[in-house]
Parts: sequence; structure tokens; C-alpha cells
Amino acid sequence: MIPTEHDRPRGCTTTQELIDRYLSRELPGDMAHAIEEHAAECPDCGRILDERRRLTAGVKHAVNAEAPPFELEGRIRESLRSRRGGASIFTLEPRFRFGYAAAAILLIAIAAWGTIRYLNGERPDRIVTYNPQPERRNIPATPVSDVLRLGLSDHVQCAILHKQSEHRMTLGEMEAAVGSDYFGLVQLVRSHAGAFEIVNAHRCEAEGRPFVHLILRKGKSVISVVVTRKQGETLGSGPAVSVDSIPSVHMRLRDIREFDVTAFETDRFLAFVISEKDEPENGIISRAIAPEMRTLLGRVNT
Amino acid sequence: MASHSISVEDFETEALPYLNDIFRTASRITGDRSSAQDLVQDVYLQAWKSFDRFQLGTNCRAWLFKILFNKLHHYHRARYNSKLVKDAEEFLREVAAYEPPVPEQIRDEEVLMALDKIPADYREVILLADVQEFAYKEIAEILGIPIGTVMSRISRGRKLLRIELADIARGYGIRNMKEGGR
Repeated sequence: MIPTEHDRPRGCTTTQELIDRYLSRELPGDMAHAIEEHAAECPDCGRILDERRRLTAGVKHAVNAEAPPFELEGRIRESLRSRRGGASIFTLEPRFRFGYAAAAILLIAIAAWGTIRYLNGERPDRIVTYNPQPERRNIPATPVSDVLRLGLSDHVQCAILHKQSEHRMTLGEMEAAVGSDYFGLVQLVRSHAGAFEIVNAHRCEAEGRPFVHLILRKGKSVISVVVTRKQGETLGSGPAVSVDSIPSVHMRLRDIREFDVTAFETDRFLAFVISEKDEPENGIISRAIAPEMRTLLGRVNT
Repeated sequence: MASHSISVEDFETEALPYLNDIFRTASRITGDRSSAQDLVQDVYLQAWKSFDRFQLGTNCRAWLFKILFNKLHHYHRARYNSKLVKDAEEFLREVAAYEPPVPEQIRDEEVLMALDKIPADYREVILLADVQEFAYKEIAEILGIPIGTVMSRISRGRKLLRIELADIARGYGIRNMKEGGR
């Protein structure tokens, strides 16, 4: 007979029959305590309880280790908005599609043309942002400083606070962690890292937003290259500036540490290179990887 | 559609934090990341359509999981093969006294292999109880089954998982173990 929560476990049989409910936190406190007391005194039940705990924890860890697809959240946001109302290009009559497509290409071209200017020595909070079709997309303009902080927050939370920069991975592990779509970024950054070494590449979240995060180290110096899918943000518009002249912006974290954040964008992605302030290789790496990174990110389908 | 009084932004704020949990569960049940992505997208669209019936501040996570399992049970009936469950129950009766030791070192890939081998009816309660840490009562509501069924599936599912894991660790098939256990 299966014991009820009113039966205190008095022996091994009762204890073992209640272990599943104990592990599921379904037993009242005194019952759970009695199980623990018995397991502490009985080597057999203690071993069984340890094993079952280990397996339960192992299942949780293994399942949660799977990184959800980088684009899934963006894809869902898009589909929710497309069903909120308003025309999608796919719902337009064919004769209108060309016009909208041309307009979209023009807007993307303007965004690409002005990608970097906002960083060009201006204070981030003074830079005018550019938001294509704001009235149609209903996305408020985002100050560039806020966009830059997206990359900075992932660097600080993941590489520094969670010490991912100390967790070395093999190239095979990096490929498994970021997926084949993004492994090209690892190879690209690796080939332009100079004195830095790429030690870790993974997918992560910072403030609820997914990132692909590459971490480079040279001694104690840490540089992050992070990529995230746009959620309506853009870095801005303005006169064209070549990617060869990407400057970085100093950002201060709680008045303690300062970082250089370099950013660039494609039509779908934001990319950031973050380092300690005045790390000269930030700019070197940014300039080296930006052109090819645009091409690589342009090929990402998932 | 829930557009009359609740904005998409409200819905996203409430529901999107659970996206990863929903995806991982869908992925483990379907065994395919691509199908899981489509399924999760369907779940969120369905949730948005009926979001006006959802009371803000109540358990949005359990509600999303209920939608997920409704869809899984509806569209993936083949994965819920009752014959597999009967086979598993018969197998469990045959090895009732057998308790394999859980390996000291458990690797993620071994756990996932073992999990994927057990019938979906058991896998889903393990995912909900051990990974998502729902209470039995919540699991019963999510899956639409009696709480007693939840308890028995968790117990049997965990035992199957221990057997499969030990089997994988030893490197030979479960049926070999079954033969040896007789």
C-alpha cells in the first residue's frame, strides 16, 4: 500500500516509496524531515536518495543546457506583430509589392549608409536615432547609448560577473554551443584576434535578450564580441562612414570601470566589440571583422 | 484575437520570459529543434489569440505549458504511442526488483539519450516535474490527467530513466539488460 502523507516513514520500504514525492517537494515539511533523518541513519536509503537527487539534478541541467535558437524570440515577435493588423508585404497585391520592397531596400540602404556615424566622437545621448517607419512599426526610437548598453550588459553579466571568460572551450565545443550558422563568426574573429585568443563562444541571455557571445583573452584582458538580433533598434543615420573608421565609445559602469564599446549593424543584427577602456585592439579587431561579419550575418537563416 | 484591450507589448512582457522553457520542453518531446520552433511559435500565437481570457498576474507559465501540451497531444499523436507505454509498464513489472545504480558522473548527453528513449507520456511528466518544477496539481491541470496518474507516471518514468541511463553507461541495449534481469 502506498503510504499517505499522514504516515511518518518508519522504515526503508516506506522511505523508498516516498522518495519520488520527496524529490518533487510534494511532502509536508515533517514528512520530508523524517525522510532526511532516516536517510542520514540508513546507508542504503541514504545512497538511494543521493542517487535519485543526482539524477533529478542531472536531468534539469541537461535539458536546460540546450540553447534555444537565437532568432526564435524575434521570429515570434514578428509573427505577433504581423497578426496585430496592418499590411504585411506578403498580404499586398502584387502590383504594390514592388513599391514596398523598393522602399524597404532604400531604408535598409540608408541605415547601412549611416551605420557608424553616431559613434564618431559624439556623445551617445546627443545622437539622433533613426528608426525606419516608426509609425508603422510602433517601436519607439531607442537612444544609441541604450543600444550600446545592450552589448555592454552582456559583456559585463556574462564574461565578467559570470566569469565565462575563465571557461575555456575547444573549437568543437564552441561550434556545438553557437550552432553551425554562427560558427563562421568564431572562425572569423579567431583569424583577426591578433594577440588575443578566442577562449569561449556560446549563446546566452542578458536582460532577457538572446546573444551570441564570443570571448577573447590576452592575459587578464578580456574582449567580447556579441551579436544580437535587432528588436527594432538601430544605431542611427547620417553621412556615410566607412567601417574602416569605426570609433569606440567609452561607457562607464557604476563609476567604477570604463569600457570601450564599438558597434555596427546589419539590417537584422547588431554587433558589438567590448573591451576595457583604451584597449587598442578593440578598434583593430572591430575594423578587421566588420566587413566580413556583415556578410556572414547576412547568410544566417535560422 | 486579444488586440481589443491588451497590447502585444503587454503580452510579450507577460509571456516571452517563458520562451526558453517552452522551447526546451517542446524540443525534448518532439526530438527535433525545427519542429519545436514551429510548435513554440504556434503556442505563442494561440496564447496571443486567447490572451483576453488570461488573467494578468495569474500563472502565465502554466497556461503556456497547457497550450503547448494541447498542441503536442493534438499534432504529435504518433509520439504518444500507447503500445510503447504498455511495453514500458510490462517491462517495469518484469524488473520490479531491479534498481540499477545511478552513475557517479552523469554527462548531459547521456541523460538526454536516456530521456529520449522513454515513452513520451513519461518523459513529459519528468520534464514538467524535474526540469520545470511544477507541482503535481499543476502538472495534472496542464496535462488534463488525474493527479494519481501524474504520481505513477513520475515514479515509473524516473525508474525507466535510471534503467536507461545505467544501460547507456554500460553501453549495451535495454533489452539485453532485460534479458539479463530475468
